[in-house]
Amino acid sequence: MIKALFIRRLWIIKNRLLTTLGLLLILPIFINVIINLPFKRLVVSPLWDIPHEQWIFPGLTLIVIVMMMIPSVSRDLFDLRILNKLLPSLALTPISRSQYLFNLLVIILIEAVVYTVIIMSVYSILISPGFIFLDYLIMFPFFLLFIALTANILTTLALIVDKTTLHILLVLSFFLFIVFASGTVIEFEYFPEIIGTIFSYLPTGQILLSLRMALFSDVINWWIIFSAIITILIWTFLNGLLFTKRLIK
Amino acid sequence: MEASITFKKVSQLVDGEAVLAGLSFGIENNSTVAIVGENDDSGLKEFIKLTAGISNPDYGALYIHGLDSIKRRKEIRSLIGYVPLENDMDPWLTAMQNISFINSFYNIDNKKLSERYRFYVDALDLNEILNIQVNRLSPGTLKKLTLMRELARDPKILVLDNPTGFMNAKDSALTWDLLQSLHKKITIIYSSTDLSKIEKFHDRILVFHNGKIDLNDNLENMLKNWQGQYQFKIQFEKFLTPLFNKIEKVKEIISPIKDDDTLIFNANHRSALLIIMTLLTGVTINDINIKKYHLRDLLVARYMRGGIL
Repeated sequence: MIKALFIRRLWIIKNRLLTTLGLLLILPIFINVIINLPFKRLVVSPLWDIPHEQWIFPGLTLIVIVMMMIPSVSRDLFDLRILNKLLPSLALTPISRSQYLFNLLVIILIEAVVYTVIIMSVYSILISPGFIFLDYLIMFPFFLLFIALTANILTTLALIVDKTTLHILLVLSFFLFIVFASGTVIEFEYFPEIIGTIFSYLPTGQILLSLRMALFSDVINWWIIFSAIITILIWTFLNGLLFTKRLIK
Repeated sequence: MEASITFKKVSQLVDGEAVLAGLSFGIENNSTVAIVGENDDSGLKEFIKLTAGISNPDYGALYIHGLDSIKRRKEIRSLIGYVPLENDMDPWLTAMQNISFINSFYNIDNKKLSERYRFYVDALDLNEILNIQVNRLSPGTLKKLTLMRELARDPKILVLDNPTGFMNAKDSALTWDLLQSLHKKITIIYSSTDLSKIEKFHDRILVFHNGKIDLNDNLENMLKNWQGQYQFKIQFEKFLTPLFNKIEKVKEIISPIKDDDTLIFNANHRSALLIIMTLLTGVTINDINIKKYHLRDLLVARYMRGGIL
């Protein structure tokens, strides 16, 4: 099944090749201009005592990845469901619905990994963070965890609502949360203490915190990684149940 | 004959209300069943969804080729092809990509699949559009593509919701020709609003009314059991009651009526007219009119006006 889904993803990219490539190049530049450049001037002395470009690099990359993931997940799980396309015939095939969703998430993950490589390359040129190759390798597993987690959140948002306007509102709110409240570009210490603590203990914040600890302090918090994996697996299972329920009328 | 589909006391609820109530009947293997819904609440939509496997029965049991529709779902899925009323193709893929994607989930030999694709592409005249993204194709063409997608899997049962809906005259003719070529080879269950097509293409017609099957037979038997297949009108110069009394006793005629100088009656065979003619010596006839009843007449009489005579 994964092969069929993989081929389908390639077909979609092929059918919209120029748009996809265009977005992959334009979005990092756009995010750099509207977020990184003003933040660089705003944050005079970074709290972690690390060069701004290095500190913000993982966050900027993740923001663009999430932006690239939103259309993929919304198209496959919201649009198709609301428009009654593809999913009804998929529901009639001998495959199980939860198995389909799991494989779909794996494909989204693979697609996001490819995008990650491209976006990291663009940012490496654009903001010159001065990382060595090993730093990029350290970042990758954390990116995978973050992508898997956000893909699950986006999947839930695509499955729980039936109204387009409400779905857009929820996705927009989630995106704002990723930009401002998950530690991608604003450190938790800048928030009022209680709010900052709450945000830092959310799975998204935890993954980014442990990424920066591994990158800048050479400390790998296995407990956070393990917890994130468990959270992702449970969330995927629950999404599978939700997907099955939403397809049976 | 072996049953292709068996309903056992099947009931279906929509928003807590029963739309199908206690259906128990079977559909024979390789037969063609046309379904007509008398109104929106007839239960036809739910019947199609159940048969196609989109929904499970709320009560009772449904068997496809002897397999329980819930417990043996996986095996059953490969037996059924379903063509919905509106296309369900992925708008971001081309026609052929859509078909290949869905059929890749069934365990079918690629060589056989390609052969069947070629056959149905020719039969439905789809050559020109296979590489076009489906959101640029007309609904009628998409319907043909869906039919091709389902038939390429060589299903034992084909369920179609309005098989020629949205199609132009040429596409409609191609589709009916293809379906007729499958008659007696697979079980075909279809709903249609084209009553003239239903008359020509069925082994059985099911008429749904208020969640129940109100009529279940072929057209010939339905008309026979109603008021005959033909309506006769004979206008006399002068039509006297003693003659009408004599005609009333002819067992081949059904519900004769004397309307001034006109005799109106029904019969199952046109030869009934010859029997009447033998009784009419010395009577001048001004006009004779014979009308063959159609499914539409039966439905209108039964559900709309309470009788067309």
